[in-house]
Amino acid sequence: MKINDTLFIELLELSKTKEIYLSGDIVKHLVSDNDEQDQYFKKCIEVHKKTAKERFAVSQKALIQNDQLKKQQSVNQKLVVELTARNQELHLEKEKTSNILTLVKKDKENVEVKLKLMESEKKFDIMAKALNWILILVAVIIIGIITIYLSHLFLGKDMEVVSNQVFTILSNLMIASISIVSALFGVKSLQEKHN
Amino acid sequence: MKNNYIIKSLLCVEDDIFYSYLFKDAAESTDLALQTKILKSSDEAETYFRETKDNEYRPDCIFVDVNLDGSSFNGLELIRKINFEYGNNVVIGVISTSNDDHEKAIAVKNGAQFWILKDTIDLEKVLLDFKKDFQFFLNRTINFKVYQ
Repeated sequence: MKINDTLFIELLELSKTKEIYLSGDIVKHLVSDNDEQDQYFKKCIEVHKKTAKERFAVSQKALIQNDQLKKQQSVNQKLVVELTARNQELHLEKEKTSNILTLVKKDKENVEVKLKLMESEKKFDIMAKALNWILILVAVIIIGIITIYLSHLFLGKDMEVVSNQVFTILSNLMIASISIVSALFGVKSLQEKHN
Repeated sequence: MKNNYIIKSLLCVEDDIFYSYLFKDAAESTDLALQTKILKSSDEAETYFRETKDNEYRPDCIFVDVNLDGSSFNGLELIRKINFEYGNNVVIGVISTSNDDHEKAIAVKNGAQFWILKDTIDLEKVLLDFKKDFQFFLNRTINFKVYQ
């Protein structure tokens, strides 16, 4: 492909005044008529190559940066996944700990209740034992008095004073026994109620 | 001025626009071909080849990406089609991020003569090496070559 002289003069003028050259694959198809045209076309190709080289360097830099960003993004995504998993683990651990704390609290409450029950049971046991001993004592006294009364009766002694005293003591003891038995039943029912 | 280009018409089939421009600039700066054309899909490339079958400007060297989004068939199938249906004395090769041996085997079977790894740091150097080998590829006096 050739260009005419008029166009070439204009192109040459453009290159000298504004440093604008023909570019692109078209330049490679141009055929020169003289040395001046040959020089001009060579210059055009040189400028075209230089521009392409500069553009390539910038594009390559951008491509490398883009690759680095992609790699970084990939690393970041992995980190996010790891952190999310860790966060979920921590949440589960927290829930487990919370459940354990609740169980411990409940166990503590149960132990406290049991301790109170045991304490009250012990109190009731002591009271019941004391009342039992008192009842046994009363029974022994009653048996003793009845023995004294019967010995006086069989030995033929004066029974008037003895029988009055015996009946007074026995009636008092009977009242006391009834009170003790009532108290024992009271303690037992309270104990059952408490349990 | 007479041109001294060995590759008259170069075609690059690449769906990544950014990389295709990078490739074009590298080809321009290394004086790889008299003409460099970029197409985005294997369908476009097939149509282009069908239309330029008897044309003097039909590409004599083709760089094809393996994975072409938006295409009805991949780059390896395109290589097979060009090589067996439209191509005569055409140097065809792959330019891809993949380094898979199985894909390379398919590429060779389909008629690919070279494989360029896309993630190469210095594409210009690779293209200069390729430029030196091109005549051997054209004469089929060189085996399948991987540039990396």
